[in-house]
Amino acid sequence: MTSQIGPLLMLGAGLGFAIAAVATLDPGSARRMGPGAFPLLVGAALTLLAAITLVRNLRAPMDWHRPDPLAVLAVLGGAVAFAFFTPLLGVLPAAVLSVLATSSVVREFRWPWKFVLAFSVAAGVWLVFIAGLGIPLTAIRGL
Amino acid sequence: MELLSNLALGFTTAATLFNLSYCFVGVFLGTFIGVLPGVGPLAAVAMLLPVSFYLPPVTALVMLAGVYYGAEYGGSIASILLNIPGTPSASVTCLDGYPMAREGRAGVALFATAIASFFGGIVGVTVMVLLAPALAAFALLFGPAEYFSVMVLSLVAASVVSTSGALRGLNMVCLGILLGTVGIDINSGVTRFTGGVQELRDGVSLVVVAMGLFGISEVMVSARGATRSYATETFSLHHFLPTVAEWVSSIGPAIRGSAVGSFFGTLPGTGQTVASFVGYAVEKRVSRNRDNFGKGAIEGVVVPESANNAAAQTAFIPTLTLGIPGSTTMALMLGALMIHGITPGPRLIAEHPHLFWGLVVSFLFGNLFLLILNIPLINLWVRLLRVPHYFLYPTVVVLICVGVYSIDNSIFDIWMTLFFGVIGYLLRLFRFEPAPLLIGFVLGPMMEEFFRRAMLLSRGDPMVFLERPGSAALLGAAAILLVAAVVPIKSLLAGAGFRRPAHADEHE
Amino acid sequence: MTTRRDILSATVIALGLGLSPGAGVLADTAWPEKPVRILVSFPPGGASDLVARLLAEKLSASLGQKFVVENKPGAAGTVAATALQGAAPDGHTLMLSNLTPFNVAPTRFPDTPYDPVADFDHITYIGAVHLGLFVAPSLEIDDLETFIEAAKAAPGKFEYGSSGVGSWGHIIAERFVDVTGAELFHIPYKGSGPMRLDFRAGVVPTIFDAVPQNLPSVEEGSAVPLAVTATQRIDTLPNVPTFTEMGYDIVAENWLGVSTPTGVPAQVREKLDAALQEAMMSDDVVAQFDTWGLVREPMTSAEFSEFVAAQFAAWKPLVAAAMD
Repeated sequence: MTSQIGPLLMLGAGLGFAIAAVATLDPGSARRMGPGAFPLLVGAALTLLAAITLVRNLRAPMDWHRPDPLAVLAVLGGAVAFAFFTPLLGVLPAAVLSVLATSSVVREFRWPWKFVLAFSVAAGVWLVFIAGLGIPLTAIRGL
Repeated sequence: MELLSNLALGFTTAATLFNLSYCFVGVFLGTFIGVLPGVGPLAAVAMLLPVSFYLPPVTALVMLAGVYYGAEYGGSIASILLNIPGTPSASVTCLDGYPMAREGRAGVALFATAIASFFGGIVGVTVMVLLAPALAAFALLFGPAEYFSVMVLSLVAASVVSTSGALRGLNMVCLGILLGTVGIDINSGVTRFTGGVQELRDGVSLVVVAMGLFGISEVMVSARGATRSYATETFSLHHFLPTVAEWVSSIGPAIRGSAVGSFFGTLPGTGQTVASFVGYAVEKRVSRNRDNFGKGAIEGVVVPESANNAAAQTAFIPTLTLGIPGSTTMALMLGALMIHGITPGPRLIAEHPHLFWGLVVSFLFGNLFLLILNIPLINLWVRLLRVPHYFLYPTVVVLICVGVYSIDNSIFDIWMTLFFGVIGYLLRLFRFEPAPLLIGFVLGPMMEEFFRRAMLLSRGDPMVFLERPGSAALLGAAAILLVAAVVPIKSLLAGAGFRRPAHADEHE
Repeated sequence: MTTRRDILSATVIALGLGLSPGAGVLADTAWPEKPVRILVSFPPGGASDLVARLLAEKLSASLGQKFVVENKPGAAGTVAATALQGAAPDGHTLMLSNLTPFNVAPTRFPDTPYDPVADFDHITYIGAVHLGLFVAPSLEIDDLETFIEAAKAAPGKFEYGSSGVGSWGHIIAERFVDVTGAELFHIPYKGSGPMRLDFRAGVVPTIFDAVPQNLPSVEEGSAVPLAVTATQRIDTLPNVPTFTEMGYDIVAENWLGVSTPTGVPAQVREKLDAALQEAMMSDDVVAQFDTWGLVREPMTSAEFSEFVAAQFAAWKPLVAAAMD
């Protein structure tokens, strides 16, 4: 049953775009198409395709992959840490915190090593992006 | 004879120590920058543009061009090792390159990439030498209807590429097109589907979508996967060489890929991405090894790499001879010329022959440098896979974040990347692959633009797409590709032909 | 050699960014005391971007601090202008100001968060390009009156290309339709490049586009200029009449200048203006601007500010007329 979620998501997306196009955008005429025409066409196409996929999948369900919540959480944690701390502290501290967040779920990875990795990654970021490529990033805020 | 004197002029221009060294610097920097996730050829060329002010125009262009195709090549390294394509065209290389890496054959995949790129590049250069003036005129035969049909063909090709079936591929292509409609509509100036968010007015950035769908979701899938890495135990060059059988079976794909690539490169704006997808889709139909496509077939690496490198070279034809850049990266190269008072246009070849032919010949050297540079580096890249995954993945997460952030200094872009990462992860769980979505996203806006322009010019008559012979032929090719993919040949023979779903008509 | 120098200076900047204290405005002569950003509302590579890069090189040399071009394209240039409005008024953030974000966008998008006149100091006027009406040679028309008659005889038959909805080409073309009564059919493009490609290929017979980038086609004979929107004939097309000369009140220029947010100390503004004026006098910049077809005119900072305000007022009704 779970494997139906995929086609259902697609169905939802297709319907969503098609309905939003009708509700908020002008379809125009064939002579001068409005902004809503193309999204409506493609949204309808996706709805149809997703419906066919769903029917087929009901007959012969395609296997699905089991999720790994811990891995997802770790990656989310790492990216969120970076996005959250960059404006507050600058890119390099954010990089350190991001590495610590991502690696926190790995048990066989000892804490001292996590710090070593975190600071090496920050150093690498500075070396490549700021010193090497000269991209104007705030390395450490307030410095 | 004229050809020989042109080539001679090119050699005397390109083969000076000064120009050769800048060519080398270009491809070297390009390769390394291309490997970084999110930092593609555009960023690399933009960074070196100021340096080029101080160089003679030929040297400047030779260096920037080197950065450009070097970065295209570098993008495929991250695709194979980590399943994170540096460029949209490299997302095709992921399809078979990454499975090869997981089988411990990353070295072979990288070796095949280097050789195929070199081969594609050389074919592209040859095409330029022989046909540049004729091909410049060719782009002018394409009107909006033909461009629309090229888009349809490419999108069908992209959905056929999907290993979980063309139907699911088409789903993803449509979703990609819809995501591409977010932002200001260029035909009316109306804002679409932004939910009032200012940052979305210009649409979602390509890098954000690519890094989310591929990068972030890939890390989510693999972060706690196999504890052992996929690296082979030995690191001799001997180990990276494809088998004799693989060499033999790669010849056809390399030739077909280069031909497809050379053709699509000459169309401004479509270039490498379309070339890679169409090349792969065609190969997947004609190859004897088609059943292994998507599972680590060497042909699946050879085709897109030869195609996108051939296209990277021939893309200079419209840029230089029409003065119309096909991409922002190409616009920067034009900028490098304009700063020296050279206006690209129809008379460029005649007025600045040493510039044009010098550049063409420098491609030969540049591709050779790439080969010489990268064969020894394979060793280094493969060793990267031996790094335990708990070192590698936190680093990749930071690299993706910094790469995305560095484009615009925008935190919003990081949130969006994360959003697409989660979407990509969900879709992956349920066997929808990200590659067709990405190409739908890239080509969708162009497809709409050409569709609506063609309809404007025909004053609302959709028959224009079938009345123009070029457009009709391309649509026909798309229909054949689609039918061939949806109707399995075996089931046709078995008489179960009526499993062809209704959507086959949708794209005609 | 140059590369090494450049890498060195890049390192110096990286260090400088980290070390320079935020506060501590010393004497007014201290400006610029850290790298100066020049915001550009176009993607890298176009003519305007190159103007900024060229001037940045000159200013870096004359003022002893790195001037860095930062491309912030998007939303009709309002992204860059909004960033400029929000920047500290200390002279370390400048913008290559131009027609669209300052004279067109505020009228077109009522939610534009800035006032193009009150929120900025417009320091230096650089120059302008004009719009031309070009037709394909296949029409076999080479003067404006014949074209207007032909278009009137077949209303809506002739398509014209513009570089986008709400672009100055579009606005002026609609003005042309209003003033002459010749009805044309609009085909919008995404920028000038794709439009010129289709024009060359014969897809659209007419374009309203900036003059300089079309000069190679004019020379080659693949584009026929009928009229330009300048007040007097321009040097690069001396045989082509202006619209005003032909009796049609259509004048437009896409100007370029350098602007800052309001509140920059007067001494800094004067020093910047002086440095820019000097840079624009140097032989290579003059030669470069000539090849790009930038038409120049001397203006003081005060005159330039008045000019921007007058342009804003003049474009207001034109924008409104084209967009409904």
